[in-house]
Amino acid sequence: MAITFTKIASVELTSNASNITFSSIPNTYFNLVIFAAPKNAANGGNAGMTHEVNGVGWSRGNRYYSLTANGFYSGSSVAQISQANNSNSTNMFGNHEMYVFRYSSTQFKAMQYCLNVATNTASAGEGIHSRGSLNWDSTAQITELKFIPESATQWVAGTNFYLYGLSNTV
Amino acid sequence: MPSTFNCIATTTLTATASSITFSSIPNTYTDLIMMIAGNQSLNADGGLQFNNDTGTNYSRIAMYASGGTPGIDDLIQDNKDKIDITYFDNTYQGSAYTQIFNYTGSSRKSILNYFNARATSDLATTTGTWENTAVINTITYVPGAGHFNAGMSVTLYGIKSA
Repeated sequence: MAITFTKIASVELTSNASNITFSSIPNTYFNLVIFAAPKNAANGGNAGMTHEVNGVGWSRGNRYYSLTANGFYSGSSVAQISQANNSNSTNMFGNHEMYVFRYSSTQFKAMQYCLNVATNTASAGEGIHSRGSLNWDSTAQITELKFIPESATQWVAGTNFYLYGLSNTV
Repeated sequence: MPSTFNCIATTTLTATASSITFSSIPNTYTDLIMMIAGNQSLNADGGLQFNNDTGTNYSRIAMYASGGTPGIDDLIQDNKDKIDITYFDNTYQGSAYTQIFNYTGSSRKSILNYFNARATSDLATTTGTWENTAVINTITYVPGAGHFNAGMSVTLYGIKSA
């Protein structure tokens, strides 16, 4: 039986970094999976994450719905995706799961994600659970994925991203 | 170390299709995962049927954000002829990630599904049930209207507990 779930690359920051980039992604898989535990060095508000694919933004901005201490809401056309940030408790990182469908095909591309930041405090706005999606209207193969902390700051040391390839070989 | 995540079957359409079926699914896994990327000729739902059951034995509840005005709403469907998991269009690429739990068990079967669609701006989480206790050996993905376009891919994975 063929191996279907393979780690392609990973980044575990030992010091702050301005972005995390997976480049030269091989075309030998069918779908991509990213598991991440990120934290933005900025404080609150817009301290989320933006994505780039092959050096450009996704065609379709983020559509999402989220549950926070402030309520349950949805939105669209926002490139930013909320993340754990420096307003969260010390050593509190988020978890983020992303699926990139048919990344090496000549079809347009779609990505779905789920993220969570849970804290053991009662502070409003500290926790978030969110689901969302991005689309890229290009027939090019995805060879690079870049994850950029919003507000032009940095990812905190300890942030990690893992990129996996999902095969469809039976 | 045993392999616990395997590809059971995959299909990429080279022509339009009125349905996509995986049959003779082995009963050697505990759960199934289906990943779909594609679109269809008409803006319409697409859903799952099991073991060729086309009766009104399916139900679902969905949480979604849809259309130009974001919103959260629930959508409950009972006594349907399939569990709707997608709502694709004719131009852009949509995606779905579906888990089918305990498909060989003797309980009624349930699924959890996430999907997005580019043009309709839909994003949904769906949970659904097939009112049957049989082992699932056939899965059919059918459009509610129109047909699936060439280029659509559907891949079925099996997850083992050991």
